[in-house]
Amino acid sequence: MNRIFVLVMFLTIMFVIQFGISEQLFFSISALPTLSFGFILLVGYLLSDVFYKMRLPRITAYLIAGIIFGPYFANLLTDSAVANLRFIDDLALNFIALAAGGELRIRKVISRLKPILLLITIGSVVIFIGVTITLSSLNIDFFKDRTWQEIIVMCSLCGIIAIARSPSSAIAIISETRASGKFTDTVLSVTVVTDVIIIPLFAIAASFAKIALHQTGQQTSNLTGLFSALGSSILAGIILGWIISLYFKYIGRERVFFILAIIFITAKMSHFISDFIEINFRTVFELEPMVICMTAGFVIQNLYDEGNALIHAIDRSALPVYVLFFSLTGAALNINILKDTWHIAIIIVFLRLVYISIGSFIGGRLGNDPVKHSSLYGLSFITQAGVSFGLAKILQREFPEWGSSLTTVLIASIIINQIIGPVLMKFSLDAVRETHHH
Amino acid sequence: MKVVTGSLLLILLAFLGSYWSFARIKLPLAARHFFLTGTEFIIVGFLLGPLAINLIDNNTMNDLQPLLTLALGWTGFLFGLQIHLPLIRKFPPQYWKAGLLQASLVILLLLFPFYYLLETLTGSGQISQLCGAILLAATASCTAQSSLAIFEKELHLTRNRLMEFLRFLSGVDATLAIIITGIMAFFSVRNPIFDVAVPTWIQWFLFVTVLSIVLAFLMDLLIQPNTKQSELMVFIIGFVVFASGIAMYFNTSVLYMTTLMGAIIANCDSAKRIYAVLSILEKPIYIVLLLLAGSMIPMITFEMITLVFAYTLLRFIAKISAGYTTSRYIKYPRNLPPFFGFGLISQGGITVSLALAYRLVEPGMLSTILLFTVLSAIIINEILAAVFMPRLLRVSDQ
Repeated sequence: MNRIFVLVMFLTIMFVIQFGISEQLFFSISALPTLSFGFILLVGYLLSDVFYKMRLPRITAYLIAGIIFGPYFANLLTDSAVANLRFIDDLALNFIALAAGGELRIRKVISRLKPILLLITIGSVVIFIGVTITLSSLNIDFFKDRTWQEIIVMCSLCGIIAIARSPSSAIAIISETRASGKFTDTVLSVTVVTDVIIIPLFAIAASFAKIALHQTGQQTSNLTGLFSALGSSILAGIILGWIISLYFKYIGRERVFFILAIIFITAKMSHFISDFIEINFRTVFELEPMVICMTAGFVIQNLYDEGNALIHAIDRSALPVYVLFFSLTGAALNINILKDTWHIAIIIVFLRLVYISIGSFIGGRLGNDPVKHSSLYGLSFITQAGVSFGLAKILQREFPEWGSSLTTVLIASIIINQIIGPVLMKFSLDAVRETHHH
Repeated sequence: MKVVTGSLLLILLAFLGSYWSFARIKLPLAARHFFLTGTEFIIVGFLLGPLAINLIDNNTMNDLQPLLTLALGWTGFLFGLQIHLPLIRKFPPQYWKAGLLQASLVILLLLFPFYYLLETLTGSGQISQLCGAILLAATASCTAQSSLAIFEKELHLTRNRLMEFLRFLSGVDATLAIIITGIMAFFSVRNPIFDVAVPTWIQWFLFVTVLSIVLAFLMDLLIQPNTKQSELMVFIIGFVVFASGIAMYFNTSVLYMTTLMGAIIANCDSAKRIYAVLSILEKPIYIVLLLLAGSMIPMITFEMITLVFAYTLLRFIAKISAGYTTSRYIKYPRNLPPFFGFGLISQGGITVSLALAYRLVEPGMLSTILLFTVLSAIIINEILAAVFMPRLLRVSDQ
């Protein structure tokens, strides 16, 4: 009861500050991001208590708090405040990536290698082929006035993006429910690895799409740049992992602070090196801070003795990071997009759900997993987030003729997946009895 | 490649700095004291800033503003949390008189010289000069509590009466400085809240004070004995940033608001649990504060360096004189050495926070100069403190 009272009081104070006083007086607008930071952290968490009592995942509450109080509804978090907090959002994402890598224990992965590989390969192939063929064969208005080549290309790109998942959501739900067990390990491994391989897969698909549409360009050099950047990111991750483990071993003080500082430096240096190579060598070279951090976490966990210390340090400070990250993600979701595109978005969401379930069931059964696990894997892979958004936005740039409308539709479907995904994942973890409650 | 080289150098420096700070290498007392107080992070911050490798440029600094505000609010809140009334009542009234007299004397002695110095060296407008002089005088009156605690530990001074007295004085002078700069900030808000015949600054003072009290009670209501540790972290960060955001939004003092909140919480049931969490993050947040403060220096001019030396010298003289005067009028404790001002030389965290808070509310050349002055003086004073403190203890047979 206390928490609901405090929640109501907070909303009242924020409404008075934003709409009661501020319209009459001139205040420091530059303070809005700070104000929003504190507000969304408290309100997001307090709202999640209500969700928790309804047996829904807390991260759904954070997302919904962001949507409700964000720029597209109540506007208590203004557009500029959300944009100004993007930097902290990125820092949080890399922090979660480090946690995701740290949770991947090679022994567990090797012991479950067969089902993991089958779930990744069969799952990805079934989703890609299923979504591409079914979507292109449906007679929907969205593809009106398009040539058949364009329809195939658009649907295959939808198919590729449908493969992408969200390690950040997966790790947040696992952390929240304190889930552990074979099912949990498999879901996490598949989610993390899929999110890494989706980047080159998308680049290959985009290159083929351009060839199919006779859009000439530097496809080969782009692909080479992408693969070398991915390789360099992994190498940088190995070095970062070594640095963090050295610090943990020989100094070991203020670990969370050190992790945040080193992530900050890594992100800054990645952008700097990418820009430097792009300007001086005229080639696309995007170092991925997320891949670097994920690799670093994986390296510390599996090559050094400091893995548990890393997970412990991350666990101690993870909750504020999750609340902030998912609330800001919610606030950044332009749900107005759903107004015009909800029907086609629902079709994509439905097709993805069906083919993820089919692919995961086949992969799980071929890997000798129990029927219950195999039938529930699909529900754990629904959530989409950062990488999916990033890939969808690339379409806008790469295919200016129709990319913009396709991006809008894909973003709408990702928004739906992001909201329903955590609920379905928590349901499946509960169903296999691997959450803390069980 | 400047950034890459610089960053690698900084990582190395941070490693070495941390190693020196935390591993008990036998360095001379002044150097050990310098590293133990974390003063080196001001220099690291300076190296990260626009004058050196520019890793923290203006855009990054804007992005990092919520973190900076968190660090500021955290310092104020933690300071306020130490104002536990039953504990304070145990100190004799003579301590209070000594504390208030010493701090007031330093402020009064320095206010006019600083006003004159700012007029000569910066030539800003009258009101800005006055605000700047008040800020410099208020920061000059502060003494670092953490530094005194480190001396106690380093020189094995357990249950030392003089050190207890000095630590009490450092609490009083920081409180006075926060109140003075807080009121100064209320004066600089020009729009009234209500169209009534009450002066604008009083309206704002009452509004911010009431809001701080409400937020403190909401925080206490939220934090129950069964609140988990991870939840505590969310609540404390959330409340501190929210309160700091409100203060900044209204162009008032972050430190005033958060210190008041802390002081109220200190006398509520949840105080111990909150203090435990705050102290876990005390050092990292202090380091962030020093790093960001150091990186906010965009240039150094001859006038700025002159101001630093004048400030340090005048502060030194004022502290010794105020201490001497206080020892003549206040007869408790009996063996109070006349030059106990030598024990009040180090400045520390609250001073950085005061200068930064002013820089946030009044961004511009003058506040940057004041920040540089205070930061440089902190570095010099930490070294001076390590020289004078052992002498004071020797002279007073402690």
